[in-house]
Amino acid sequence: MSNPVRVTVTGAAGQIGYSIVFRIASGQLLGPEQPVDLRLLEIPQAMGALEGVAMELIDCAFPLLENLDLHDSPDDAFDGSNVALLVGSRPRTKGMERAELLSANGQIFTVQGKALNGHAAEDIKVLVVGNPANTNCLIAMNNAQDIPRERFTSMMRLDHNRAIAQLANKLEVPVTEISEMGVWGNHSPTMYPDLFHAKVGGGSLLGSSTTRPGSRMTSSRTSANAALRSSRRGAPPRRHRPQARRSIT
Amino acid sequence: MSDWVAGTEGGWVSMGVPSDGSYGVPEGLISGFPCTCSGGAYEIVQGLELDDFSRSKIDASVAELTEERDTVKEQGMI
Repeated sequence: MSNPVRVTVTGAAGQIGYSIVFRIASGQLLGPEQPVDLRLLEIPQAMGALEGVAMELIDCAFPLLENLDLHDSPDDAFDGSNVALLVGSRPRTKGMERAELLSANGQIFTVQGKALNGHAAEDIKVLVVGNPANTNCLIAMNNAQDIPRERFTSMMRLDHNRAIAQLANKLEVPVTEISEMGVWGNHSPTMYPDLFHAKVGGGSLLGSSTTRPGSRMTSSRTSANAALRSSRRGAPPRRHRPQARRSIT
Repeated sequence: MSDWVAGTEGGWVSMGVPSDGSYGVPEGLISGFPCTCSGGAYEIVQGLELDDFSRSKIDASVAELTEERDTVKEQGMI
């Protein structure tokens, strides 16, 4: 077995954290032969809850979980990290203006960017999940000038998977039949799931843009887009409830 | 993250990545793009045609990202 990969998860005692730390410890992130050294970061007020999560992780006796440390300091949590999942962020509270939300999160991600810059391993890969993900990623990246910027990414995979699922549901095909899906832009209601390049069963969904016949393709595009618009895609990302099944109209 | 590390064997995954100017998205903005992953790195899928509908949708999202960037820049975060 290889040397452990150090994986840091922030906001680890929250709902997303609770969901992913078990997957990481069980080998779903990096494969069944890759031991992990898990570092969990929380705010001081959540350290008690984090200790509970840690006990549950230990109880599972995961063979791949070589080490588990809990931190309330970003400098310590990112020390030697190879993979960082920045899940924790400040949620929008009632009446909070967008600028306030950006500012509150900016404070978190400037600190984390600097901590990554100062302490992470040279091969660090960062995925920002906490919203507003794109701009939080921008902030972290700009506060980590020594880390190549292509190591900083923000999550669009939820949107990507959702677009595939909704499209497959509408077309009544297995999700595995959909390929070449792309979701462009911000992880927000302005995101754009691109059906023009999407393939179903290896064939183009909407036909090439240069040979698109008129109304038939337009109505297909319209109905596919309508399917996506009527889905939860357009809703602000909701993280704290299970995704209910919904039929597409 | 799993696909970024393991590779996608040519398959497309959507990732929010710093733009290199591809598709007219201002450089440095973090935007969703279709990507492939290999050798521990990602690459934005190049050479895709964007029709007017797609262009307007992407431009609108980029405008939002630009506004967010300007806000945090004003606040001294970047």
